[in-house]
Amino acid sequence: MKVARAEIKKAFHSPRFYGGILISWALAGLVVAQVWRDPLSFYLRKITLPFSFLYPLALFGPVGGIWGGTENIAEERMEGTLSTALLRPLSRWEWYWGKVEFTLFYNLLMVFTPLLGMALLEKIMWGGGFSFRLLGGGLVVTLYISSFSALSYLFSSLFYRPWGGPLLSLGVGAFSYIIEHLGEGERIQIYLLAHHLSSFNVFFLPQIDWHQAFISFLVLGSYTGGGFLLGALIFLKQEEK
Amino acid sequence: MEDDIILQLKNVEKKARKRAILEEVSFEVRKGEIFGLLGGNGAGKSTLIRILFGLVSPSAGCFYVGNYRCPPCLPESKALIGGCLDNTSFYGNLTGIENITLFASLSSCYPRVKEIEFFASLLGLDASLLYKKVSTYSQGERKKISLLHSLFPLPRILVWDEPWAGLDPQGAKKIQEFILTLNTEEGVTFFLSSPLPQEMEKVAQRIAILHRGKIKWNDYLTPQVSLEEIYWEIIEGK
Repeated sequence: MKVARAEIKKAFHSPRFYGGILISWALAGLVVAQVWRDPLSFYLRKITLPFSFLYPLALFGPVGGIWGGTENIAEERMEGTLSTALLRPLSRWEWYWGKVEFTLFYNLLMVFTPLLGMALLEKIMWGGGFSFRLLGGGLVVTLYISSFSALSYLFSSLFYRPWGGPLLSLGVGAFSYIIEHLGEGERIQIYLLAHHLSSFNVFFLPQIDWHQAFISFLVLGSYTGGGFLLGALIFLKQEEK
Repeated sequence: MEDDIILQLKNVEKKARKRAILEEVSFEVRKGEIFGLLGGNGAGKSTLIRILFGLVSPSAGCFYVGNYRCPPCLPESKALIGGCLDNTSFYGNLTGIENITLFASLSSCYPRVKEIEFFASLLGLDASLLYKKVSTYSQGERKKISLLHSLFPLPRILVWDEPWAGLDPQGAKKIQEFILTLNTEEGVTFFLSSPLPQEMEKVAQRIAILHRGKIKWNDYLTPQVSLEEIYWEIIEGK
């Protein structure tokens, strides 16, 4: 926890930390403004405020997720602060997972603070309520964004160049999006990242599709866990010259 | 390992792309002494220091920090050794004091502001500078902050790579005085590296000369020994 705590302390001084959260809140603000302008259509379509927010967040959130990996691995290495940290009684393993802890915490913050804010606003304005569906949908989007963070950690560990991580992570996302929209190979679509862009939907259906929810958690969890773990194994073998 | 030895290197080697950077480097540093590693640019000093911190793995050989055999450099062994690299980097958007407390917290050390200011003054660093962002520091100020950060917590052996590089003669003198004070009063062992024999002989009690990756000379300094002469003989291959 030492590394994650230091990361939080450092983040308070970073405009980027506030930038990501602010963008997330700005997206929420846009959705609220839209509902404010035309509440009837939302009411007729029986869409909740948090639900409307999750799609744009899943669409743009990966950029923030990728940023985390680039900043925490590639930039620290390039700036030399990684070497300064490793002068301390820390193992590379401990340092890496401390960074991962912070990234996951940040992704949760980016998703859940505006989400809960919107649920609260909905409760006050229209008498809606907090529900388990909100938590499920939020977790799927967090996991979706974290999958991109994990890819960014993996590629940033693999390539010493700072732009290798974000470019390849975006590349994987774009590739899966293209394959998904080619509409062929239905059997593999379920394993594609882009397929889970709107997986949070399953929690907002009249009857929650638990089977689909389980598959989404499994696939996104594998991307997240696998990406972070592979990145850690690569990072462990490297040297700071 | 003998009880009074804090650091011992045994045939440490490092090869990069088939080029030997270090070849069978062996020596030991005794508790409480000021040990100097002297060598020109490209001699392998910085690589050796990076090996001691576990940033780089040796291709062959091993070393002991206290009773811990490295590699692997476990956190337990790294807790005994502290220091700075020739180009220690800090977060530019944080102040000096924020950087020091941040990195110290990674060693579970939480120094008080007064304590940091006290050591800063001993190193000749103006206390007001601690509250300015590191990105605004000069080269010499960065060097001093990197030396300062390594003091929290105070380790058993302090490894400083080129501690007076980038400092003016007055600054270098202040650092040398600080080394002698800390060694005499707190019994801290020092491992210093430098390419300058005339600066090194002002503080070091024992010196090893590293040339093209090999230890060419390793002995105590006495009034009868002219370090500069020996150094130049080795460098010029006489």
